[in-house]
Amino acid sequence: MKKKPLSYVSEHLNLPSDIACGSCIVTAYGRRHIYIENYKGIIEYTSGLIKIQGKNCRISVKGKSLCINYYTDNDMRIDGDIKEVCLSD
Amino acid sequence: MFKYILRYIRGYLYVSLVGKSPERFINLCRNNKIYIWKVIKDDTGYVFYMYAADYKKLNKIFWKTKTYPHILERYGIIFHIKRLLRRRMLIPSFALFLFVIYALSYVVWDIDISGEMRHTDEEIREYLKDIGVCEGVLTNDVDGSAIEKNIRNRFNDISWVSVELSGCNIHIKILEADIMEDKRNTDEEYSSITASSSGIINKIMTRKGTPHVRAGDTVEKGQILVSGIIELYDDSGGVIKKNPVYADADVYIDTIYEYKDEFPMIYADRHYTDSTKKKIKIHIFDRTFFLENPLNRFKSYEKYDIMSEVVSPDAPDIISDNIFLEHECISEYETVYRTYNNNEAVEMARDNLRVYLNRLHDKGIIIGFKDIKADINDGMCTVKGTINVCEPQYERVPITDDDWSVDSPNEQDGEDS
Repeated sequence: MKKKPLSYVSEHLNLPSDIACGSCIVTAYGRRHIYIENYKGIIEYTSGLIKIQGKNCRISVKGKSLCINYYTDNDMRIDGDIKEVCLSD
Repeated sequence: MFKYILRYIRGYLYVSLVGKSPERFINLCRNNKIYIWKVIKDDTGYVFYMYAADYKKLNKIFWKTKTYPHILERYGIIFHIKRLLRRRMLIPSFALFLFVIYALSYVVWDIDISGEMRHTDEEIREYLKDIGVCEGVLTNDVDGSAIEKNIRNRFNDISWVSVELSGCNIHIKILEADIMEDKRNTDEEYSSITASSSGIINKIMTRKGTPHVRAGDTVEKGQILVSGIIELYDDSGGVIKKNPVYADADVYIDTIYEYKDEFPMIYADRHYTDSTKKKIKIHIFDRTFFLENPLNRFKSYEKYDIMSEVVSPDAPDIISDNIFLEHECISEYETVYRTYNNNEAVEMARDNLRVYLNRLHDKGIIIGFKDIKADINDGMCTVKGTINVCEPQYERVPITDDDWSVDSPNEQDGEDS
């Protein structure tokens, strides 16, 4: 996979990639909570699947009884019985 | 927690959303900086919470996203107030409440009495009631200086009273005069020590003044023992100057006290009925709270005793010296008349004598030989006798200017012979 110039620079300068190239940060606390930062928008939202558009990738959270606890400009929290988190182009 | 309180103050809504593209709705909310939380997908659509103030901003978004909102619940103070304002009687009731509070602030709610030792709270309260000061009177009618004057006049042994009206409470502070008569003169004015009773001088030790008697001398009541005038003599023996001083000496006189005690053989005794009122007082710092059966207010006793028991500070349920419990029991009694038998009468006479001797002892009098006899006759017990005592002398007579002025010989008037 060809690297983008910004990610190349951030890698070599040891800069955090979320600042340099706006990468999504996905933080999971067990199977109950997931924090997603630097996202662009919500593509799909059902109780079994939440698809989120990031700057460089798309994040799919699968599970049961999913709920968006809160979301702001920068971050959001998803609660529920999380089974799978997929990152795709 | 703080977050929830802020939300409650601002007011928030529980909204249900039905429509074709809720995801777009959520994204638009985010772009328009409308904060929504707890977004949950349910059977019909989506439910979420949002601030009440943001709801009007959503109209455009609803129209754009073809979604239909429905407010399920409203939370917050603002909605409570709106709901309450619908009740017509609320504002008049609140106004009435304020008026009642204001009106009641002109009424005395509590009378707090402190500093009393010999007189009971009830006794003073009873008197205050007689002069028209009790709970429920108007604060404007309370005249502090008049109450102070009345209390001082009624209770002779109360030397100082302070009546303070603070808010709806009257605080009465009392200082009682000392019972024991202390004859020792503390004002060091020029004076001489005199004999308070006739007898024989047992001991005399003079520190200041001129002694007029010696140990073993017989003195009469009122005789000067130690004079407060110090005379200065010239070489020829004439008095040239008299210095007045505060005579200071320890003088003891052996004397005899006549003792007489008489009391009737019939006496009034208390017979407690089973009727009692119990009260628990909780003292928290300067405050006292009562726990009392309200039905007790209907019981009124003509004669009663109050017995209080403070739960010991050593007890485990006591938190500190400032917080403690007091059990108060008001027991009714009836007066019944009984007759002493001989042994009881003698015991009673002994008790009276003991009290008398203790009082003498407190005055510094040394008790010597006692010759006392009791006689029971005609329903009276008479105790008579003599007590030999060694009595310290504290009585004084002041020295007047005439006592210590010296007529100096006037040389101008001398006649030449």
